[in-house]
Parts: sequence; structure tokens; C-alpha cells
Amino acid sequence: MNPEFRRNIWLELTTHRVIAMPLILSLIFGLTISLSGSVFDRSVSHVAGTAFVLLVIVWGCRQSAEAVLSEISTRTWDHQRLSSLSAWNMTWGKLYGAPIFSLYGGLFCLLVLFLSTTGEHSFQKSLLITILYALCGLFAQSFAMFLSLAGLRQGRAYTWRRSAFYQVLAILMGLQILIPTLISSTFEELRTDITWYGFVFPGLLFYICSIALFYIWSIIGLHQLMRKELQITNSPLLWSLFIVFALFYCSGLIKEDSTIFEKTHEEWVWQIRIYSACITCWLITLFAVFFEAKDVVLLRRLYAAVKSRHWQQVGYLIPRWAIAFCFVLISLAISLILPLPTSNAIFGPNNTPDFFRQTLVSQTLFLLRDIGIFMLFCLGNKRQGGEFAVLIYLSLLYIVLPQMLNAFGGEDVLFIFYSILAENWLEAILPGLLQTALIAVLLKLHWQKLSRKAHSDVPIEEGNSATA
Amino acid sequence: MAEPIVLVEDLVYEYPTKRALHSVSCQIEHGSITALVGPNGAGKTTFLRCLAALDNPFSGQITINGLKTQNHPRDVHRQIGYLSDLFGIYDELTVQRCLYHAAAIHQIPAAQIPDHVAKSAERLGLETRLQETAGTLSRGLRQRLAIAQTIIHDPVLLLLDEPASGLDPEARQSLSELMLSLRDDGMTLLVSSHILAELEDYSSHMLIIDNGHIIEHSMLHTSTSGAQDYDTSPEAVPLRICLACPDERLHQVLSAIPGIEAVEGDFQEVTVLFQGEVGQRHEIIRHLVESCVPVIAFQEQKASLQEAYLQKLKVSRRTVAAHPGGQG
Repeated sequence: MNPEFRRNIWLELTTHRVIAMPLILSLIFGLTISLSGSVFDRSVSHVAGTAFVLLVIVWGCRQSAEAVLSEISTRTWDHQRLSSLSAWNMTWGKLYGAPIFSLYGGLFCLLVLFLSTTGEHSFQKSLLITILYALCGLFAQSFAMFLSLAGLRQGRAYTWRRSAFYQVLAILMGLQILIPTLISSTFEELRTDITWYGFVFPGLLFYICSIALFYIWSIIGLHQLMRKELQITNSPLLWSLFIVFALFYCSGLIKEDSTIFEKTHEEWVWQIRIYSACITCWLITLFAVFFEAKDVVLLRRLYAAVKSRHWQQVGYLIPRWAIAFCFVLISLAISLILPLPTSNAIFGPNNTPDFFRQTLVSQTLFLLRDIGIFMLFCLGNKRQGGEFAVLIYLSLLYIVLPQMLNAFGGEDVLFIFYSILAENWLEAILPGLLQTALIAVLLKLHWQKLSRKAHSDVPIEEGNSATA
Repeated sequence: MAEPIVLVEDLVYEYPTKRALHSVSCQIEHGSITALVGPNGAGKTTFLRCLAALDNPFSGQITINGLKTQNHPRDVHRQIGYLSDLFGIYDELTVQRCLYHAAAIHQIPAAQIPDHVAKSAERLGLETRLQETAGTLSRGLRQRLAIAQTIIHDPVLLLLDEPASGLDPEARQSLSELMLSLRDDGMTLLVSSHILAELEDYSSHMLIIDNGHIIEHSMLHTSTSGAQDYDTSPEAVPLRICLACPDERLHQVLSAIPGIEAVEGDFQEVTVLFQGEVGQRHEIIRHLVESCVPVIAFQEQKASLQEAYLQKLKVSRRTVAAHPGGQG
């Protein structure tokens, strides 16, 4: 047996717990049945679904997020890192081991959910609903662990705030599909058909496939992060493949008769898909820059590797946000090359045909500025939580300052913050360009200051070598 | 000459605002016990973590038993044992399960794990506490359990960061004995500690780090009494000579003896620096006796590890102060 999985079983599945869990759940379900007039139906499935969410998604995410963080706080993680376990064994040992008790309870809930829905729905649909719940729970747990491991790149000190932040994000991811069904308990919401690249899929099946795919990607991501923890280098290939997958998946959700682009003509849908790909890349870049290490030493090593043309080393060291940003540039370039309609039919009466192009270019400059702000506040910052400070500054730039400007009658210059309001190329590009240049100058000064500090103490003796 | 078990070449480690190791190079021979000493913040822990392939250096190379840490980190992890100064153990598990888990994660075959657990527990005197929960153990016993976990897979290289901190004198004594027994079993040890007197008991080499530089890496001599002696100079040996009563001719007689380079002291007690073989030392006594100098004591003066360490540190810092810019 996987030693890490066994250790978690030793810790989590004590005899007392193994007996108590089904006992308590039986009492809850029994009480529900007696209150609903001895009927094993919708009310029971509602309770089973809620219990599953509480056990597997809420509690399970906590256990998953804390799986490595708690090892760091109790200082056992280095011992694990020095083990002979492969990254994969460590990954699955923790992924299914840490929340094993909540999964154990979740199994009972799923069984009751399945049985209680068979009365109202077909066997197949009951099975699919059960699978959807199971996948949502597993995905939430795996995403929680992924975030906590990704967060380790920012700093290794454990804080409950960080852990809680990861848990909340993962719970929201896990619940996004289940919440409507939990509220209504009819599962009708899952019947809505989904159109993807023009193909119509039954909603329930599409959700199950989507979550299954993202679950697989989260495990791949987790494995990559675990490799990094175990000092094994990762090539940028899998991350690039994930970006391509995400672009492909999200772009497929743009419908020809979309209500967002209600005047979209079928022949322009691919342009709109490329724009959506560009926006997806922005989001992935921001996600990566938030979670990834803003490590000045790593960047120095990267710079040295580039200078010495060690391209394999460059591939290992290059930040993932930089790769995502490359995809932003690629999708932006394609957007600029693709022909646009000569009329303004697509984009509404107030926008020129160049509107989307201007917005994309300008927003890419703003993205570059935002990356610069992250670097400025987080590079060499000994205190953790610089990323959260940056989020506050960004909310100032995107919300507070524009609102203030608006309040003081500066509607005409709001394009400084909102590229979408620019009326021509100059207004679209100049604000982003100037703000990015300003941040670049500040970043350069900060970099020089850090380098001076790092190299202020000089070596003692030549060679500094000794042999016994 | 056999390949060293540890070969460090131009190792540089940087924190964002501080360079912790400056182009450090050294090598450690198989079967040695090296005392890694230096002031707080000198870079000892960083050095050990780099050797353990837990942290990536900025530049330079580390080869452990023929494996480069950057290229084969997991293979290196299999070959070493590392105990951090701030270690943790699984408090909820019993001692036996802690050891079983430690053996299992090092992929010791399941059939052999009980033997490894028993051997490790016996080495650390934990055989009577196997069923106790780790969280209930005293600090000293936790330390022993942590060491037992670290050596359970019989690593070829053992890196210990402050292993004796928090241990009582008896436990320290048994730790010293354990170090020597591990060495005898074929392990190579690198031990960082501030308790130099204790390092003296078992170390064969000393590596001094100060401000991210190796300022000394020397072999310690073992005298016939078994005690360690720090080798200040391989050529000249300090010898202490005492007389029954002051004799004004003492310095004159000693200066005339071949091999004596310097004489310090008064007319009753002196320290001479003698350059020559051990077998030639009786010549000094013969000369003194023939000159009717009333010699009553003659012995090699041993500098303790602590004295030698402090002396080296002082010299190194004086050099830095004198030539602040003249460093490589």
C-alpha cells in the first residue's frame, strides 16, 4: 500500500470514527424519513446531497488544503520530501488520503442520494446525478490541494487566512454546479442543453464530462506541483497544453446566436472565439501571476540561463505566467490579423469596427502593467501576503479611482482606466503604454536595489575553497 | 584516491536580499565525521539543505556519492538522511508506526521493515517505547525518534543540523557514541552544532563557515589517548615544559635544540613550537636533562576545538577588516 495513504488511514480512520460516521448519518437520514412521513424521496435526496456537500466539499476541501500546509507547520514536510516516494505516489497518497474520512462519509451520502432519486428519476439519470455529485466533490478537493500547493510558491509559512482563502475558492468551484440543485432539490436545472462548438449536449452529461476533464487537469497540475516540491524539474509542455485546452474549451461555449453578441453573424463567430481565447489567456495569466512565486532569485537564475543560452534550463525556470502571457500575445496577434466586418453591425452602433482590436491591445498593456505591479510589490518582499495587497491596489485602479473620476466630472477621460471607453487608437493605447512604462521604470529601480543588497557583502578569500 | 562522498564546487546560494553562500567549494571523504561549525547566520543550515537537495543553489554544483543534486535530486534523497534543527514528528502516531512509516517511504521492502524498525529503535534506545504515542515523548526522546527515522534506511551520508540541542548530558553522551557507531557502520556524517566540546568527542574533521564562506576545513588528529586535537599547523607542534624551579638558562638551552622554532613563557614554564617527528621529541628532554635543567613535565599542548575555532574566526575576521575589497 502507498505509505502516505496508509499513514492517513492510520490517522483518519480510527475504529471509533469508522463506526461513528455511518451511525450518525443513519440517524440523520432516519430522522428525515420519519419527518417526511416515512417516504424515501426528494427530501431524503436533498438531505443526502447537503450532507455530501458539507462532508466532502466543505470539510474535505479543508482537509485537502491543509494536507501539505499542516505538514509544513508541524515541520514534517522536509522528512516527506526526502523520502523515496515518487511524485505520483505522494500526490495520490495525499489527495485521497488526507480527506479519506470525509470521502468515507461521502460514500454513504452518495448511496442514499442514488437510492432516493431512483423513485423520481430513471435509473440512468439517478446514476448520472450521483456521478456529478461525486465528481464535484473530488474536483473541489483536488482543486483545494492544488491551490494550497501552488500557494506554497508564494511563501512557506502557514497562515489560517491563506488556508481559508484556498478552501473558499475550492468550495466555490465545487459548488458552482451543485448550488441550484441544492436549493431546488429537483435537479431540473441540469436538464438545460448546452451548445458547444455548435453541438448540442444534454446539460447533465456536459457538466459531468467538463468536471471530469477539469478534475483530470487539476490532478495533472497537482502532480506537477508535487514534482516541484520534490525538486524534480518540470518542462513547460503540460502547462502549455492546459492553456490550449482551456482556450479550446471556453471558446466552444460561444454560440452563433449568443445573446451576448446578439448581432453576431455566424461567419464572424471564429473572430469572437479568438477574442474569447485572448480573454481566457488574460485570466489564466492573472491566476498564474497571483499564485506563482515572485522569486527574484529564480528570475536571476532565469536571466543567467538566457544569457548563457541554456534553453532547457530556461524552459524549467520560466514562470508559468510568462508562458500564459505568450499565449495572450499569440491570440492577440491572430485577433489583429483576422479580417473584421466593415460595418459596425457586430459591435453595436457606438463602436467602430476596430473597437475590439483597440480594447484587446489596450487591455493586454494593462495586463502587463498588472504583472509589473505584482512583481513590484512581491519581488524580494519578506512579508507574505503581498499578492493580497496588490489585489487591493488593482481594485483601486479598476474601481475606486475611475469612480472618483466619474464623480468629479471626468467622464471624458475615464478611458485612462477603462480601455473599453476609448474612442480611437491613441486613447486606447496611450494610457496603458504610459502606465506600463511607469511600472517598468519602478520595477527596474526595485530590481537594482535588490541586486545591490544581495551583493553588498563580498567574499572573504579567493576561491573560498577547502579540502580536508 | 577514492572519490569523495561530497563534492561541492563553486556553490552560490542567494536569498532575495542576501547572498548566503559565496562560491563555496569543499569535499568530504567517505567514513569521516565532519563538524560543521560557525556563528549564527553563517550559512550552515543553508549549506546542509543544499547538500540534502532540498534547496536549489543559485549556481555551482554538488555531487553526492557521484550524483549531482540538481540532476538527480530523488536519487540523492534516497542516499542521504537529513535531520533539520527544527524537525517535526507525527505526534498522533505511535513510535513504532512513525518508524514503520519512515521505513516505508524509503521503499524498504515490507518484509524487511520490522527488522529495520527494531534495529533503529535499538540503536536509539527506543525499543521499550514502541507503543507510546510520539506526542507524549519528552524532548530528548523525540530527538532520538527523529534520528531513528533519519537513519532507518541506512543512508550513506547523514546530515544532522544541531542534533544535540535540547538533550541532557547523558543523552548527548549516547548521541556521541551513536555517531561513532554509525561511522563504524560505514556512514559519513556531517554534523552542525554549537556545542563544540561534544563535537570534539567524535569528529574527524572540522569545517568552519562564516558569513557564507568556508574559512577552514581541516582534519582533526587523534592522539594515543583517543582525544581529538585540532591541527593548527601540520608542521609545528606546541609542547609545554615545566621545571621544578625557575632556571635562567631555560630559554638559551631550548633555543639551541634543533627543531625548536619559538619559545614563550617564563623561566619555570614555557611553551615551545617544535617542528619535527614525534620520535625526535625525546631529544628535547635529553638536552634539558644533560644541561641539568630540572624538568618535571613535558607534554604536547592540545588546542581544544573551541579554542581553534575561535582563533580561526578571529583571524578570518581580521583578514576581512584589513582587506575589505580584496576578496575573490
